[in-house]
Amino acid sequence: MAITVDIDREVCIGSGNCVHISEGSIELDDDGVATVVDAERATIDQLRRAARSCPTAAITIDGEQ
Amino acid sequence: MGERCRLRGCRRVHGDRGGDGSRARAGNQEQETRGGLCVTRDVVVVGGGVAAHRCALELRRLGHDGTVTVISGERHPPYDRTFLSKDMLVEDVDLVPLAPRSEYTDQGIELLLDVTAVALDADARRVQLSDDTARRYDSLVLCVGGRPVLPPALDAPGVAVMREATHLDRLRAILARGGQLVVIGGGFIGGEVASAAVTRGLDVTLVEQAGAPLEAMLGAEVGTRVAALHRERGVKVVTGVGARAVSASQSGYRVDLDDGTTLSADAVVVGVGMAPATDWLTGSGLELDHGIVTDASCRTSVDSVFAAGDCARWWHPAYESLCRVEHWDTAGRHGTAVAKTVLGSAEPFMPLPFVWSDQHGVKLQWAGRAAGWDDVRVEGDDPARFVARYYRSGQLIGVFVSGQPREFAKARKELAASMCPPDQGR
Ligand SMILES: Cc1cc2nc3c(=O)[nH]c(=O)nc-3n(C[C@H](O)[C@H](O)[C@H](O)COP(=O)(O)OP(=O)(O)OC[C@H]3O[C@@H](n4cnc5c(N)ncnc54)[C@H](O)[C@@H]3O)c2cc1C
Ligand code: SF4
Repeated sequence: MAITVDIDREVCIGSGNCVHISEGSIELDDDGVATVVDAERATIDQLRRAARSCPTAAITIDGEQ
Repeated sequence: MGERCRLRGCRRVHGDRGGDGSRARAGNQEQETRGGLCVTRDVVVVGGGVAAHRCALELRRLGHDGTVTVISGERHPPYDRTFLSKDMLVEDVDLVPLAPRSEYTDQGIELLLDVTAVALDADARRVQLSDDTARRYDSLVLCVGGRPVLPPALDAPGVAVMREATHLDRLRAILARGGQLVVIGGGFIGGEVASAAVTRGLDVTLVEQAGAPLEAMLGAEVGTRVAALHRERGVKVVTGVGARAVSASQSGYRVDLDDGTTLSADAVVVGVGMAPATDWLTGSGLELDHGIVTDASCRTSVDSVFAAGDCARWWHPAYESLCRVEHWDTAGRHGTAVAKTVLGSAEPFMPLPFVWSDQHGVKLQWAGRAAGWDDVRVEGDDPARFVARYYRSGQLIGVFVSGQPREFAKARKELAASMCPPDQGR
């Protein structure tokens, strides 16, 4: 089943942590807010870590199984 | 007669010809100029943390086509330091690099690893390195961060600190062995180590000389809640008494406290703060005062030398004071900002300082100015769920939130809106 990565734009502060944790699955857009470019690039563990490590808890992962 | 460079803050005098292709003199060096402005060809960045990393990439993003050399005392390319005291202590995960190695190559960024800058000759615009070579620069960016403070009385053989990847093996071995752990210092890192250790089943005592963990920064009301969070999760918290000495014996460690009591332990971790890694810059002409002092745009007191990240104490225009911040997000933004100044657009660096910490599965978040509050209002008694607002003369200047990221997001916006620099507020 496809992985859904949801990023709350209101909460994200553009710290960029998720970008290096998720191997480029997530990038910062022109407004400096995190946006999913290709969820498949990272493993589910990396995405989970990105969510857990986001300084603002802006990332939710679901549908992973 | 020469003409002063028109770049803000540049003190060089250009040759008579001005215009393209002339040379500017600084000390005994010459620098290429174009249109009356100095041209930076060779940028040397000293440091291998997030500030250095962001600076190097931003230079390229802005179109700098000269050389970029990053010199880091660490063996690893820049990595996420904040993981060292979080996931990496609980799980067997590798360092998380900030970018794949190939990105530096693709961007033409030279990474010199495991090499330390040992002396600066600002007149010759040259940095002396630990491998007996030297690098000349047109612009030098210092992103040297800090080193953990380990007071001699606490420095017994095997006592652990936490700052760099090289410290990780020791700490992991301590956690794998189990037993009794004493953590000295209840700041963010001490708190995270205690949290990871108790998760892994160790018998953990956290010693904090103030009345509560984080009290020095956040005050007693919030500090007691943080202490309660530790205690709820099984950490013994000893407060109001400092550790005077640590001694090692074959059977383990003895920690002497200021009140005459002692603790015994199988391992000791000291997390009592960090000091800017600037010893090697003493006598270089740079103004050093609890960090490398810079103006609002990351320029040090010495021509063509800039500083950013944890090591820099810069003039924050909105706070109208010199600030040094030891937080990941701020250091990264500082790295981006300094690259802009190096290339000539000197905007003031004016972030809303932000730090987060993960302790016992709870997200702790702070934004704002950590000094100078005179009133704090706390909502919520649950140590894993509360909001504290900090005021100075009735104005909101900071917010600390435990376990409520959405509340934090709202409060942070409020703070950001109120942060207008005095000269730009009208
Ligand atoms: C364990 C740990 C956990 C943390 N967790 C959080 C957190 O959860 N949230 C948060 O906001 N902040 C956290 N921080 C703070 C954050 O990591 C720092 O603010 C940030 O790393 C500062 O980045 P920097 O690039 O300025 O300096 P540093 O990361 O300290 O990097 C400095 C680099 O320069 C190198 N260097 C120093 N001197 C020389 C020299 N003379 N020559 C060559 N190289 C040199 C060092 O080896 C190092 O690579 C944590 C820090 C630590 C240590
Ligand atoms: S880690 Fe979180 S706050 Fe930082 S950019 Fe990613 S989503 Fe935004």
